[in-house]
Amino acid sequence: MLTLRDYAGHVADLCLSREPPRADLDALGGEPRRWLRYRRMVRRRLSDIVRAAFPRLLDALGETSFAALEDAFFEARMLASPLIRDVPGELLAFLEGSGARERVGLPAHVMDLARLEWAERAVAYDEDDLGEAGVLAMENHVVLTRAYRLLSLEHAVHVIDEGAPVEPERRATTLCVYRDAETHTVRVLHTTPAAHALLEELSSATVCLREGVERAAARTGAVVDLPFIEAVSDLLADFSARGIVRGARE
Amino acid sequence: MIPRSGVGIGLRAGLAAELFAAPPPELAFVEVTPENYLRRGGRYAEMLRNARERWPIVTHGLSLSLGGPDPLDGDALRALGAFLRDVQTPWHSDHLSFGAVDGTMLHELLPVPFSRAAVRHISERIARVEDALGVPFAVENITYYESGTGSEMDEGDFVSEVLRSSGAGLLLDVNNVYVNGKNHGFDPRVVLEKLPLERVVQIHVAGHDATEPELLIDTHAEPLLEDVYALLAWVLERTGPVPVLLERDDNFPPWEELCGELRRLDAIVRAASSVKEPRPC
Repeated sequence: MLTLRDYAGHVADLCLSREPPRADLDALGGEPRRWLRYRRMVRRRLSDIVRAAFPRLLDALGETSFAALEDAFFEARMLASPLIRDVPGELLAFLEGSGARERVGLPAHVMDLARLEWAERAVAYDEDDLGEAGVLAMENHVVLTRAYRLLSLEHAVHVIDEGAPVEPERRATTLCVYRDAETHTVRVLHTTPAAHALLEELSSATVCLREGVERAAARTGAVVDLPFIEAVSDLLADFSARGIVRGARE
Repeated sequence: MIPRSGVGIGLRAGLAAELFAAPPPELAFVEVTPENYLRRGGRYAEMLRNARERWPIVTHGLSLSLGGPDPLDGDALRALGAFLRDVQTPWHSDHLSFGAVDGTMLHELLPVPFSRAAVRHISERIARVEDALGVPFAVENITYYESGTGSEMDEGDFVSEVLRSSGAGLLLDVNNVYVNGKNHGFDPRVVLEKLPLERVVQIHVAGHDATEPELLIDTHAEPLLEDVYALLAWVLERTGPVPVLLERDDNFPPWEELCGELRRLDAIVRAASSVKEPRPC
């Protein structure tokens, strides 16, 4: 008789292999047709969740390529989270893994598109912000919302609409994906390199606003003078109005 | 507190707008799947807050993989326990199934062989789960389309043995017993008569897909069948009043149609309450 581990292993092989292995069906016994039903159920559920998360990626790749990507992903068994909502992120991790995109034969921009779509998905359900934050001050640490992601991409994939796939322009693109705290709507803000650098620096829990501004200036080759400070002030006001910056803490 | 003679519905994103806008008066509780809400904000957190303001919550999980060979995840159990205590569920339930092996999650309720080894394995895990969660625990009987060559007993004996050796409560899914009976050629009442029905803490009912008559599929995406209503009444005559939950996860019908199903379930539960007193909790 099979051990529980061997039994479960045969079921997993049957469900995730590119083709259903005859050896697993033989080992499991019973009616193959019914075991194959389980294979369809497992793959269908996984497929539904990734297709719901990556509608523009599906558009861009088309059914055949997307199905090939799914087959390769299932076979790689990068399904470690007990939460099914994490599966699209696991597909992205698979794509980002060494050589996965090339093996599956996907165009370069799909990586950026997958990163954007997963960021939108993740931000929609990031944990809510807790408590109040104080007033911004140069020596205080800036408090950002918990529901945001900063993306630094090689393609302008944010211009792609669902149902209208286009080949995006290849150009350095920085984005801030965040969730509106009132409506829960996910928004994508196309940021300048300086704004992106500022948000990245302010994301660090260890630096105060003054240090963050100085580091962002150094990264972008800007001089910290009055016009620069005024521009930063405008940026922070805009980020605050959007709820990306919530305030500061000592 | 969840009324012992009440009907509930699973909180689903696809139902939430109508549920909150036009809640059926019969609704006595709402069931939530912790995996959908743990460490999650935005619309899901708002949905949970709204539900908690209106109804008692009972929780029903998907991912414990009680029949699976992988070790239980202590961190995940602690997080789950904190969630359960926060929503003040009277008990937590999960399925007599497995969903993971060798670190790979399959995200499906897969059958375990009806074997003595599986009874021992699952019972030991239930004890550890109950300790970790800090709330009473119940197991749900699943639909199984195959159980393989390792089975040494039938479903009724298997579920009964797990309940006896673990001390867990039973979340009895009446539709699952019905579907299994049709798919494996037995009278569902024969299995139900084997079960210790005094251990039932909650009942699930749902619709199923009968596109292939020789293999019904438990989808939670179809209306309840007359046979399932009748089987529910048969069960309630034996258990007395027990909270009954309508599971509807997909292919949502007009809201009034679901409310009609809830009204009918409520009438069945009330009829059972009038002929049999509630069991002491």
